[in-house]
Amino acid sequence: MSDSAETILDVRDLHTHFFLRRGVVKAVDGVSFTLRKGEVLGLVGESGCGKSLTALSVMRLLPKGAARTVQGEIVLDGENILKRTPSQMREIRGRKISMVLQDPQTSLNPVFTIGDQLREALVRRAPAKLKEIIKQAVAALRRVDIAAPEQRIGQYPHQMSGGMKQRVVGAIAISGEPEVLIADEPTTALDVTIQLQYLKLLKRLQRENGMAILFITHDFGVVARMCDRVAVMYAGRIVECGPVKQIFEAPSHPYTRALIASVPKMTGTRGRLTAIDGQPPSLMNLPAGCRFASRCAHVEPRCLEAYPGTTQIGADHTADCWKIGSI
Amino acid sequence: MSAAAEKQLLRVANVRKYFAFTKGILFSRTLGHVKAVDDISFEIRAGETLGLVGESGCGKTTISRMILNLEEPTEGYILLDDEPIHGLEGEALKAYRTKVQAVFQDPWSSLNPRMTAGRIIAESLIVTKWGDKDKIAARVAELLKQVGLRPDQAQQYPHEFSGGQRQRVALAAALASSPKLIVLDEPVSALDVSIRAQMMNLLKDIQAERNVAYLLVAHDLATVRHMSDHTVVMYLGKIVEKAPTQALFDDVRHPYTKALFSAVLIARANQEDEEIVLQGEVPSPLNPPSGCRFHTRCPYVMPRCSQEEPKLRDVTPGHAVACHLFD
Amino acid sequence: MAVAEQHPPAAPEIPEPHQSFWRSLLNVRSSAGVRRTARVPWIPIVIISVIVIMAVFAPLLAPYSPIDQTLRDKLLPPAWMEGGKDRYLLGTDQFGRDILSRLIYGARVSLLVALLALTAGGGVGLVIGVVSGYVGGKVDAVLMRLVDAAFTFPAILFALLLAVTMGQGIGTLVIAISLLLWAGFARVIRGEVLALRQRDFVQLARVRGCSSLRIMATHIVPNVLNTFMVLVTLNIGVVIIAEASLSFLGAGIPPPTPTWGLMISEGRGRIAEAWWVALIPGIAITLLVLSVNLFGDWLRDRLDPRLRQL
Repeated sequence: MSDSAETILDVRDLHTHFFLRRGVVKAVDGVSFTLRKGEVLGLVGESGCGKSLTALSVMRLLPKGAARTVQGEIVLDGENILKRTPSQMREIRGRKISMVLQDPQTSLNPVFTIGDQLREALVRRAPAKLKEIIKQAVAALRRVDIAAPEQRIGQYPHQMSGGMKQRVVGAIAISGEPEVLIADEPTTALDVTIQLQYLKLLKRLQRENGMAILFITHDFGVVARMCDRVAVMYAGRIVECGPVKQIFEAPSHPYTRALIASVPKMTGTRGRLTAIDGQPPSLMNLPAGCRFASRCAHVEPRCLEAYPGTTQIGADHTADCWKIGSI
Repeated sequence: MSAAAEKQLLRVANVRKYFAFTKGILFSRTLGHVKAVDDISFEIRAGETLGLVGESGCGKTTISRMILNLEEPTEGYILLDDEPIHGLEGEALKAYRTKVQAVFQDPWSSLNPRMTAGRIIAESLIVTKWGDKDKIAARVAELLKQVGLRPDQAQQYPHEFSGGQRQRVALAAALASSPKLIVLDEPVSALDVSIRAQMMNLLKDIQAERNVAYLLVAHDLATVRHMSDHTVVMYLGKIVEKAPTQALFDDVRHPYTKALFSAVLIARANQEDEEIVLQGEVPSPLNPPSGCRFHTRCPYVMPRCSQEEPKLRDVTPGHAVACHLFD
Repeated sequence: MAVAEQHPPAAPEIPEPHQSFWRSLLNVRSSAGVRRTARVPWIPIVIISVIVIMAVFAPLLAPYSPIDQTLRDKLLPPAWMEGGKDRYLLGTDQFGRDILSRLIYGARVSLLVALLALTAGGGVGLVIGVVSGYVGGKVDAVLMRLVDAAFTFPAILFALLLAVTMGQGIGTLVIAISLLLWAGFARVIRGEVLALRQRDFVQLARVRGCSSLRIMATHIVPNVLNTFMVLVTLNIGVVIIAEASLSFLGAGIPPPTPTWGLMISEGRGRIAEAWWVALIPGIAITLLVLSVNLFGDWLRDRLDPRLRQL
């Protein structure tokens, strides 16, 4: 990705918190990133690090009454969508920004046919005669490599396999030609060979449409296959962000390093894995300093006192660590 | 590894498992059979790990359920220390249960929420009347220490533990009766990336200490490579490739195994070298393809593949493949 | 490396719904993350407590004997009305018996019948539901057809038949009402067990060497107790109304022992001139059933959100 590429989504200092009786869970606590036109940005982290909540905040689909975005800006194509009304948001969703979730089982309504569910999305985009819409639906299914789409539009979700359902979900998500697609662990529920098919499909669609994808995953392998840049999240913040190649070849943040080292490899020795000891901190009671300090091999006093600022490492590579350059 | 010298602990010989597909309950009719496992043979030696790899529906879960004596084979037999394991009753079955144990994938489902960790770990000791209360309590404390937990955590309920800790409790419970074999059904795939390495190291340490054998059921090749001495690859109820792990990973033969290798997304950027992306989905085991079951998706398919079923045979000593390419 | 994170990314650290029954009741603050359940229903709890205390301490609380007749004081209206006497706070019936005393003693019978019928009917339902759900197959098919049959069973007619053959009394009442109850318990509990049976810890219990009986007793039953307790509270109202109906029809407790249903039955002939004889026990039944149901609703939401669809 060249630096000059235009920014389509700019998230600045986003804070989304859960408000519970027992206290405030700071699930997203100061997240900033930019997504450029036509690129795939991976958002990687473990469960509970806030990556899915970041996506829901951007879609403005937070669970009602529980979570609230309390601070920050989400600038989509030049406008801060946090200032939009719910009805304006409905217009934006599907056309400018769209989403694919992890479980195709729950993403589709079991009592409607595939055709009905596609039609709903297509009619919203551009009302047309039924015949025309059916033609479009067939074309949309063909685009996501579904064989015999004419028959498939009359079928119900339970008549399809998981991989096929997820492709239908993809077809619905991109039917409005969105500029940004958020994919939240879209292949986690699929078998490995089907996962590879789906990733290839997403990549092809992305090239055809020129849309930008925010790809949320916990799997570095998927990142390597899919993404141009990657942002690593830990306990509510992005700790490192940069081009995929640099992150894999020269990770800077101790967390990123430890995470990549802890994954078993397909080549090389089969000795002991370098594990990360301990657990992530409680999001209700975050430490004052660096959030990774308690598990970090390079910890020193200042790490416990204050959160490190963001250090520029390369042209497009940043990390939040006090000891960049000295470890 | 001199095969003859080492003692075979478990032998699975020509095992088939067909599930009748029936209609009605009281006066049922059989409509067909699902050939979940079809003529499978392999051995596990004392103290070693056998990895069983395949996608959903390949029969790996059915195999492990038969080894756990939760399911009877339709044909063939399974021997532990040269004794058949099925048809056991009463005390003999109880004795078998102390020798073969299991850890399942989901640590949120595998612990009874109404029991303390200590009670869960003590279960098999209580059932077999292993000793009095104090003796059992001492043993539980020792087991907790062995899996890296504190003895006082015996009083805690499952919801008070994190996912990784729960999986440690599940492992302690499996170890309580000093089994010779533990079936590990996807033991790390439900855990967070940073916790997986801890668990894998722990499993290896315990194996070294106690000389316990593992049957590792997994879909992730890197995990299998890291953990196991021998690897068996299954597709639609059949073994397609079987070899010592190092030999298999150095020289992959079967087209399906090759496709699985391609599907492993390695945490390394820019890898798009010679890969096999399988088309289509796994066919239904209710009506598997004729001849080689993989022929419908195989990139190297030949005319005879749809007619003649390939035999599993050694291509190099110890490395067996079921494919006509190697006849 | 794919099946991880099947757990929803929602609020972290939401406590498990499976705390012990009493702990989750008492531990008001520590429960389910963002709670939208109603507040503790204090008024129903007070009403239920008053009625329970009345029943337990009836001999101490009742001003008169519930069966002694004072014919000269018959059909006196409640004390606050014209013609009422201060001695009889809620008036008297056609035999001059004190309605307050009869109400207090009547609570005893109603609650005793409820307790026994729920223990018997609920217990049978629990056992059948657990066995049916856990064992499955043909046993399940047979037991569930039995449950279907029980739902079509004319319980009132059967109770009348029992009363004729066995004679009236608490035993007859309890048997008749238990027959009305068990099937509902069995069906709901079976559903719960079917879901539990799929959980890995039940499979693992077999691997550890537990017998089926042991699995049902130590792994299944403790995990359906929440549901069972909710069903019990929700059915108290049904039992009290059934007892009243049967006593009203003459298939329940024979007179002169006071029960609330019998009191209504005896007062119905004179509802025009002496409404209080029938209406006061009627109000008592309404208050108790309403309170118990409100309490049961709250308990259900509190312990098991899945039951909300029922």
